[in-house]
Amino acid sequence: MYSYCNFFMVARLLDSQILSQIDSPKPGLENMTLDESMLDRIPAGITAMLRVYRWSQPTLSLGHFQTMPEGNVAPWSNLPRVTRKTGGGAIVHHHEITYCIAIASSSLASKKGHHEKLYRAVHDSIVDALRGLGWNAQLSENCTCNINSGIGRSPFLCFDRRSPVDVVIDGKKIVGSAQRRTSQGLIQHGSILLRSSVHAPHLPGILDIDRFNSLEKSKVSLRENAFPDAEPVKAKDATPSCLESQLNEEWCVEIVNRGLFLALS
Amino acid sequence: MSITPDQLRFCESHEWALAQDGIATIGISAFAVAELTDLVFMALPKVGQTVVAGKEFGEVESVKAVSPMYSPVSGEVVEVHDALVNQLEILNSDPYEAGWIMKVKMSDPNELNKLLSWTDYQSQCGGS
Repeated sequence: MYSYCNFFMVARLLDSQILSQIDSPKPGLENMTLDESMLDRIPAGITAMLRVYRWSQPTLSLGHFQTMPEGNVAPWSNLPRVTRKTGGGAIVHHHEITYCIAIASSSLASKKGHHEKLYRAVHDSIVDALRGLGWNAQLSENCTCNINSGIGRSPFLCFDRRSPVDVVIDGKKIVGSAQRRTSQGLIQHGSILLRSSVHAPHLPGILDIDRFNSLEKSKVSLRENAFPDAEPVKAKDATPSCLESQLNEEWCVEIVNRGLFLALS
Repeated sequence: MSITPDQLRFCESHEWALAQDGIATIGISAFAVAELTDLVFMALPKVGQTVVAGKEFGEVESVKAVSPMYSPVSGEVVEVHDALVNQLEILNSDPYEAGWIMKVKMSDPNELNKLLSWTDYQSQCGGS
């Protein structure tokens, strides 16, 4: 068992070095403050930082420009609230793992819009890992967005929205990410939904969704396309309880790092 | 008479400026709009606000990212295209005229000389 606060590691591939941290569960404001300062805290010689964490209590995080809908009485309405610096829809952080990637780069700062390669590489890595564990994960082909949708007209919750790079299992979104450019570089937040929450009961998590009948079937997977040389992330045990313990912060660090290296290469 | 990109000066961060009688009209380039893909929201400055060349004056949200917009010049904001927030599609069809974002009374018009010409800006975009 790892200890939360002091769990740091540096991974290196070619010229890229990633500093990863598994942090202890914290209140929303503290989590957001730490994420917002990540670009300032990247040590010299480190290409990117990854922080993986949970939340000390169920919390609703709003996208950067979001406000609560007026008169809305929803299961998440009374949760503690924070606003992320990243865009996208609101997230109920309950039975989920959050990750935050920070990449300091002047070339990234001058760009506009999302960093497609980073989204795809991280999400492809998650898809590949979940398929290795037996889930029919893939990137969504759908999008609920268009230029006329406007911020108030998209679904309120991130996991009710679809963009082509979201990770879905049988059409149900289980991973969503959003980015922010700053004068220093780029931040990407991501949420991996493990189980449904009483505060958003219509949204199933990974562990609520049936896996393939045969793990072997899942190994004919996107790995051949996206990660031909990568070792598969194996299911040590096929029982649901063991799977639940496997989908933890360490797993998240390994999988996100794999995608991050691909994006930086 | 319509505005053509070769009349404009550009930031490396993809904002443009058109100067006339001490006032700079400012927007974001067609290249930036294409990079942003699906625009969702734009946070604009206020009239009377002071902006600084190279510093953030607003933000634009596309479907998966929030990106800052940087002012090409320093000065006081004298007019803001508030209606743009509800008509972001204009940026796709006419980013250099109907898609203007703000007008700034320049405090130092010499700052325009530090911006890129259309030719140099195109080279930057082609190489990025």
